[in-house]
Amino acid sequence: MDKILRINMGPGGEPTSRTEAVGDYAGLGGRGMTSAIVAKEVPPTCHPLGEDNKLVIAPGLLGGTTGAMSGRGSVGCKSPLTGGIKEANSGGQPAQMLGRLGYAALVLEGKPKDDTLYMIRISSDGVEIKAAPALKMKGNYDTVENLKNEYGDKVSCISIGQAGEMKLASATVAFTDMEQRPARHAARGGVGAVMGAKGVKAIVIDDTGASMRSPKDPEKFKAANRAFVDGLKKHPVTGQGLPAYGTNVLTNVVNEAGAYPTYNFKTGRFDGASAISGETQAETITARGGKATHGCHRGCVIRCSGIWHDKDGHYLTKQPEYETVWSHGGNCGISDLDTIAMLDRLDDDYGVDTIEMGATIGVAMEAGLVEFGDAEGAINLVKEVGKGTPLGRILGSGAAVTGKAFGVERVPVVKNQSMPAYDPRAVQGMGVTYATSTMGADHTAGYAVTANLLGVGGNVDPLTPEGQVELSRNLQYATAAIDATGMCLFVAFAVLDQPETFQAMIDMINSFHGLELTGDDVTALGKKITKMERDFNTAAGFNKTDDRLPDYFRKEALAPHNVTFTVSDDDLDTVFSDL
Amino acid sequence: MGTTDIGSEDRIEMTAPGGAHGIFSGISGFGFLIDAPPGASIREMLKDIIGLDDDYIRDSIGTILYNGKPVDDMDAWKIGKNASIAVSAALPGVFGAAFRKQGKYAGLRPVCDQDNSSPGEADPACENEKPSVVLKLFNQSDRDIAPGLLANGVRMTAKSFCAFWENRLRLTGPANIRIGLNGRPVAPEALCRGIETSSVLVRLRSGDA
Repeated sequence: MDKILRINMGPGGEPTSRTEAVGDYAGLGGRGMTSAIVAKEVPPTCHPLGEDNKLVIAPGLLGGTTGAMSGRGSVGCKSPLTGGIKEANSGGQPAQMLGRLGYAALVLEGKPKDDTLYMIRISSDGVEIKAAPALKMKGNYDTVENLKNEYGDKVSCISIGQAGEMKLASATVAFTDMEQRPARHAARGGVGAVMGAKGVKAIVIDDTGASMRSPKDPEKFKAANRAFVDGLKKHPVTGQGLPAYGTNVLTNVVNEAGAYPTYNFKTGRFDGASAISGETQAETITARGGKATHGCHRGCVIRCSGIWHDKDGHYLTKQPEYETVWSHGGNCGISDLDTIAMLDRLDDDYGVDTIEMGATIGVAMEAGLVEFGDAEGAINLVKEVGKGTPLGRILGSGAAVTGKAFGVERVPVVKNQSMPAYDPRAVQGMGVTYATSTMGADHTAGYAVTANLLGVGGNVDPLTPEGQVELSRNLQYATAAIDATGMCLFVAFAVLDQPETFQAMIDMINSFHGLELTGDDVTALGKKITKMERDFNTAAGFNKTDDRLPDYFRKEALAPHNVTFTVSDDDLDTVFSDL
Repeated sequence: MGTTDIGSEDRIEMTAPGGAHGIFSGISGFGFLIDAPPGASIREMLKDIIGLDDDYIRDSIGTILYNGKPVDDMDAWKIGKNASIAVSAALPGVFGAAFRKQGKYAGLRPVCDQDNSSPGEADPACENEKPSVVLKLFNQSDRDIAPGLLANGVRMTAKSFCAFWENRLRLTGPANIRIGLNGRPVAPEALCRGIETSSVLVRLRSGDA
């Protein structure tokens, strides 16, 4: 991966491509690569849908290798949703294929001269860019079916649905999975709208003839990879809980703890939680002939994904993730897994973020557009987005816009991005991360629970407010570093609990690249990425008042434990005081 | 594991090939009613009433919630009236780390002391019946523990059982199973209409459907 492919969509009227050496960006991958390019090359005050914004797609440092869990791809740009820097990542096959073709990044630049819609094919033979009028306003599933018919079933695809073409702020970039379905998404922050603004409907990646990337020290890499896989398989979370139940394993417990945002964050418990839990979901999938244990890309050994069949035993969508089940389920008062699966399918097809869409429907329900618990009403609202009606365009612009359009005060967003499925009043440290993340409210921003192992910031007492701030900061640095590797964040638990698994992960990177990185170096990488992102946001106009939760989280007590968010603004302002 | 005495509840008997637990996967998340002596510690309940051994409790249980609050010291927390106790294997993510028993990331959640004023989950309709704890077993804990409890017979509120059963019927149908209510065969769809008591005794047997 020593080259960057740049495609300018508009110079002189026609798109052009050029390949250049990775240069100053050498040694970066995933979120490290996307944020570095955006921070250096995109004017922070530019319009996110304008010609100066860039859409960067990058495999991780181990993308295209035989390394386990390393197939995630990052998508970065200035976000149309938050107005700040954005990185969203996805599983699926495209990042592995880009890596095998030698690309450390693909950068879409400029703006097309008119509303011509393009598709791009990248292969060992080069780059082909052509108009694709037949794909106009098609959903992701139809788009990929068309591309499959033309290019075969071995290619992978990156695409946008109708939402991306309409440049809606909740639009995603879809990545095809192992079955060539557009079911994996770089979902957050409206990255799909930026791809739509570039006039690119789809990117086909054909790695025919390309081989796996070769490590500098093959024997060491092989041994480290084996140790890493062994560590993942023996850990109860990555070897047992996630494969059996998927991420939705969390529903019952988060609900029981009173941390499950319900009825647009009004209460912390949902009576129907067990009916939509991971346990119920896994049994239903198995009974209908789907797959309850399934990897979202080759090389995944955790296999927390799955395949959901409808009542007739036909494929409908991938197994909805915990966040999706929550956003369209408890958050909207819906306790029917079939409805949630249908909403997931529609979201994936139109290409909208399931978290943002579910939160938006919750706000719409609060506004009285439909009642909480109205499954058919929720489906009809999402269909409005696909049809591009005026109402649909408002909803597709996210919860913040919808709240403004319908006069709703209780809108659960930070930096305009909807909160995920943990109420910050019940998990205060999560609230610190929601408030201060460079990405807007994002549970994955502080996901990699490796702080103690990485030793960032010394030893703090996590039971003090200072400790909570410290933990959030350390988690955000660690997560940024993991995101740069292209590894799935779910490796974090095994890495946290098993020092030998953490060492194996470092050994994989070192033996592949011929490096001598230590835990401190990995930490420094995470800190460097976070600083780039903070600096971009500051230049874009963000200040400390943007690092806040909405007021009502401090004023409205959350049942059943009657807790409010209590971390002070002063403490929030210290989260990144070391940058 | 202790067997629950058959009392005045409606008795539901399910017979499935091999005592297959599959169709009951997740049932314990809806809440089992367990008779537990007031004042017993959570550890005592898990060991003496449920029948778990020390190794399982130490190695396989990641999170315990008492009335929704995370428990770090299961010897110190005593069982009160109408308590709800949830048991889970290790969980992913920041939430899993924060709510893990004696976890080093406990700082990410509020500090909790036992507070018996928090309401339990027992159905008020059952308050005059046997003193019970609502036990919820999640994920791997459900797979490991629930089959034994079901084989011996376990009590549930009728409301909780029917919430489980009707959801299961809606999603997957009754599958290959024979159902008896108070000793009489009953159609799956008619089961909940035939229940007349506020709590039920559910037993899963192995046999031909």
